[in-house]
Amino acid sequence: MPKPLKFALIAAVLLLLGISAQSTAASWRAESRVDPPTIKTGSLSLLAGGAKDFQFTKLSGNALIPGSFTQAPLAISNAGTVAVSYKLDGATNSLASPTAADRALTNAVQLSIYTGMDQAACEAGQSLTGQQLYVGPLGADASFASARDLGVGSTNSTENLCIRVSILSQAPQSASGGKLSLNLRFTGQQR
Amino acid sequence: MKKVTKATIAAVAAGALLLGGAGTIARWQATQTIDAGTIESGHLNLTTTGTGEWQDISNPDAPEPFDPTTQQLVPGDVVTFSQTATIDAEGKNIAGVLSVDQEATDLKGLADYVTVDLKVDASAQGITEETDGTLSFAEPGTYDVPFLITVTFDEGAVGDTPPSTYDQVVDLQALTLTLDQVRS
Repeated sequence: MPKPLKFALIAAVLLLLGISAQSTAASWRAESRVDPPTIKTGSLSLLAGGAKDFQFTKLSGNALIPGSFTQAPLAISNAGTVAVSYKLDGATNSLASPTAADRALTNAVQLSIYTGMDQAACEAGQSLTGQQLYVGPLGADASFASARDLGVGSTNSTENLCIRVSILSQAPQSASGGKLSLNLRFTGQQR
Repeated sequence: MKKVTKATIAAVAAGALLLGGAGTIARWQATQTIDAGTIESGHLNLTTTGTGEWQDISNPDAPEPFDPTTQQLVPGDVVTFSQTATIDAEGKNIAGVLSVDQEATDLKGLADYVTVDLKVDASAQGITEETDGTLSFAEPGTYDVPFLITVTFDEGAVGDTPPSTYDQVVDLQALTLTLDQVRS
């Protein structure tokens, strides 16, 4: 082997050794994992009649005439982990293809929502008592004057409402034979 | 055998005997044990002490205790976890730097809504806060370094925070304090 090549090989080996020695000269390191207990996010869940999409079958009426009404109790409850403020966020006729009679009936209906009324009395069709939350026509903008508060767990987490749908006494003839599929929308916001 | 040959053999044998004898001539020798004592390496330990304390500081003016076993985060909440890390450094020329790694925190579905911040307190005696945010010490000793984890659940606008953020676990186990020895 030529001398220059031998020298080059030796130098390369020494360099490698030098580099190797450099990388193994590690200082001390101590690590500590911060391990606090896990935390969880909560949830917000507003239920009407105990369900997210409740079929309000008690509020039904056949052959209603002007001046008559149907009413039924409805419980609004907070099933989440955070206190909620809720309000009515629209009351509409949800028929997919309403006829002229359906539209006339929709316009001839008055919605009343009260709280604080005895549920049995509400179901029995007695006069509305308690606090009035809404009285007015159907519409996407139907809402309470102010939001209602619901607590969490067993603390005021349910509010019992009495819902009444009345046919106005001055309902036009065009509303006769109309159908109403009432869709009440309640919206809750975290307090 | 000729006389000359015999004489040669005898001379060689005598020489060999003489050489062998030379090896057994002992000279004086003395030994002395040097007692330099023992030396020990130092150590560099980092431990957390106590169980830590959670607080709800959503209202900074009225902080409240926060119990993660029974209470949950909702948008707008800010909670903190405070604990103390102890540096135990021994060695004549020991010095070190404490740094925080919080990049690895995996918030999964909460990533766009929750932030986690880990800060160490530089006020302990003997601890110096460097310009890059690390803490250093230059002498052996025991240093108590309080640290604070802040978890913020952004309030967002009304209706902005989706139900996918409900009932999620915030995993803080990837937060790591690293203590490296340094040589000046």
